[in-house]
Amino acid sequence: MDHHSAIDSQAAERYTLAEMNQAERADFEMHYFDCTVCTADVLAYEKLRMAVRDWNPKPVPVPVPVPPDLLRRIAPWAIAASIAGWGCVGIDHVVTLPQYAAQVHYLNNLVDQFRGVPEQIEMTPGTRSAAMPPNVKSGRPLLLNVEILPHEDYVSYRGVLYGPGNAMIQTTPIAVDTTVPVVVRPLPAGSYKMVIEGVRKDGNRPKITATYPFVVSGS
Amino acid sequence: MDHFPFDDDYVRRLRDGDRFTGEHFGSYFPPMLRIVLRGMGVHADTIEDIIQETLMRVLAAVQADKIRDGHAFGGFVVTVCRNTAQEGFRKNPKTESIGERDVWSSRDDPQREILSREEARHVRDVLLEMKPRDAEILRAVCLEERDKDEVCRTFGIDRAYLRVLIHRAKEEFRKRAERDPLFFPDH
Repeated sequence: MDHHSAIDSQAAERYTLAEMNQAERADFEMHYFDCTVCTADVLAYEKLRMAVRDWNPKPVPVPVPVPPDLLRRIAPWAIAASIAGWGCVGIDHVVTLPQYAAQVHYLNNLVDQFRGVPEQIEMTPGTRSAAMPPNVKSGRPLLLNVEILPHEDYVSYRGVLYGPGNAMIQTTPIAVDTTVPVVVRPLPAGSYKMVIEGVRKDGNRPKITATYPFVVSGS
Repeated sequence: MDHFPFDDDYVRRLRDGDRFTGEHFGSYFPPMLRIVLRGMGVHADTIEDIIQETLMRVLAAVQADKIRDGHAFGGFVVTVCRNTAQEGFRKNPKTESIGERDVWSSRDDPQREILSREEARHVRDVLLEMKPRDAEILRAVCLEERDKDEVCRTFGIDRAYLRVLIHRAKEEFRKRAERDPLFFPDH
């Protein structure tokens, strides 16, 4: 392979993307090991690959997960109050336990921002294998009750919500315990999935531990 | 690391024990050979051994004046490496299929040495300025090391788009790196 054919055939890109068979790889390697331009290209791809691999995008700010029992006790009542026109009072004027200050703030945000009774989806190992993914209506906030089965390999988890076209919508850090409600703003109609990734102890890249697809249909 | 065409003079200096040339030889080839060996599906545990063996064999050939064309020295090195790896395949079945490269994501991957902190920052900047979907695609290709066809299916794109995407990201990364005074302090 000469330099022109390497350029014309996008050899460096195909080499990087493992699109070449072994014979093509060997041929291109014979070229690029003696070609400063192609060597620089291949090494640039290698650096890109390594840096992307290490890159951990900042999670989209989302409300802090709250204890599920607290949310279940308060949220329906609070949201109902909000709908009834009491939202301006604010939950913190009613519930003042200091240890729940963050959660109260969170619930206030929930009431203020989402204005609606959330659709709840259970995301547990039992529902993961359901034949049909859950179907919820658009235009309402979602409450995804994600159940984590702690595993010794992972120090924590994160829930990554993907929308149509696999666009990442939000990332939620999840501690290693039980069921965590993840609140999501109202979503347009489409297919979605919540991917649970385990953050490994050894610092290696997170591993997908569960995927929960669901569908949002037009209201 | 300097990239320059190899020639007979390089081989002569290497044979004569020139310190600079020896240091260049010892640091220039390993990162490239790791890429070659990974592409061959060689198990990560044996890669460093094969590289050391390759460098030893090449130096022995240089000492014995067996390098006919200094301009093809790089090709000679990669050929020796491939042959050494093939011998390893025959002797030791501890190989992995291409794609089973989890161990390469390890934090102690020696290949990490080629990436400086500044370069990593440039890549992050490139990713942050990309369309989020394109950044996710790139991440899927590099991070998950998933089957590329599967990535294409998942994102509804074709291979050509993947190549263009990675080419653009690489060019942008290089542009930024070349503009960085840390890389070119004389500019």
